Parts: sequence; C-alpha cells; structure tokens
Amino acid sequence: MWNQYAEGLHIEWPFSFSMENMKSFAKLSSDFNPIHTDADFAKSKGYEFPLVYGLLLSSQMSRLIGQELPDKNAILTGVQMDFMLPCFPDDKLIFGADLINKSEATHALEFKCRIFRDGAVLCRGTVNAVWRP
Amino acid sequence: MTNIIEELLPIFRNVFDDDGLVVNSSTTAQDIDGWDSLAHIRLIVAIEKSFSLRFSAAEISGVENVGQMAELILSKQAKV
Repeated sequence: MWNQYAEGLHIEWPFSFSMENMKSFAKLSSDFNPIHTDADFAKSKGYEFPLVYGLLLSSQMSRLIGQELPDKNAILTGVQMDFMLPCFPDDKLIFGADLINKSEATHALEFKCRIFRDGAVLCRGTVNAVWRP
Repeated sequence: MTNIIEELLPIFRNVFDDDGLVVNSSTTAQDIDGWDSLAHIRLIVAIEKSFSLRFSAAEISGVENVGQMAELILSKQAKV
C-alpha cells in the first residue's frame, strides 16, 4: 500500500559476493577483465584481491526495489551510483537505503543508498522508482 | 507567468534531453516527442524539486499545458 511508504523509511540488509558470484557475473556481462578474475593481475595493480564488479554491487538496488520494499508494486526507473572504495570478494557488506522523496502527485519514489564495510562507505547513490498499484 | 516558464525551460530541456527544446504557455504533451508516462513523472518530480513544492495528484491531473503548470506553481508559491 502506498501509505506504507513514508519519507525516512530505512531498509538495510547484510550481503557479500563470492568468487563464484563473480564468475557468474563475468559470464552474464561478458566482462572478463582480469582485475575482477585474476588475483595476480589485481595484485599487479595494487589491490590485495580481485575487485568486485561495480555493477554487481549495484544489483542490490534491484533487490531493494524488487524484494525489500513494503509491497511488490514498485518499478525501477533510474539508478545513479558512485564507487568510492574498492570492494573484494567475501567482504561483509551492508546495503542501506533511505526513502528521501515520495511524490504524491506521481507516486515516484527516490532512495538514497549506501554500501558499507566495517562502517566505511564503499558506494553511494540514488535509486528512483515508480509505484504502480 | 513568463518568468516561471523561463524557469521551467531548462527543466524541460533536461528531462527530455533536448537542448533546443522551446516551450510556451500553450505547449502540451502532444507537442514534445518522448513525453510519455515515465517522462511525465520525471518532469513533475524535477519541477517539485526545482521550485521546492509538492503537488497533489488532483492538482497535476488538472494541468493540460505549460501555462497551466506555471499558474499552478504561482498559486502554490503564493500560499507558501
């Protein structure tokens, strides 16, 4: 129900991505860049481990709109995301979202999102959706 | 009202991704390519943010052209 959405609504959950998840994403996206798949190559670039794909991290925005809202009536209409710190396989992450704008006129929703590791913000962005009963 | 329409112009250009777009008081959705339901939502939300206003569904449903939108904005601003 629309009235279950209130500005200030906060939703969060823990998640992580394994190397197996990374391999699946590589196949789905056809992005086989070794920075994501080869530990030695990642080390040669100064990273301790392969980097988690940024767009794999942003998949949590899809989960937000599709699975974590009060109902199943929201449709994703836009995503913006900044990647601020590297993320590695099996990192223990928290995805957090806050509803910052709810348009009564259009049933548009805007969420501010962040991904945290040990309290540090790895990614931040916004997700837009429209609620259709 | 002319000033409001001038302020609306960059919002329209951004929403419809058309730097050459021109609107006037009689412009309607029929006059602008791409003015579909999702573009309409983006437009209304952008206008709400730009003018720091909130519209109701009833207010928006009564708007048929850019001039009426400008009048609605003016009436909302007068109440603030």
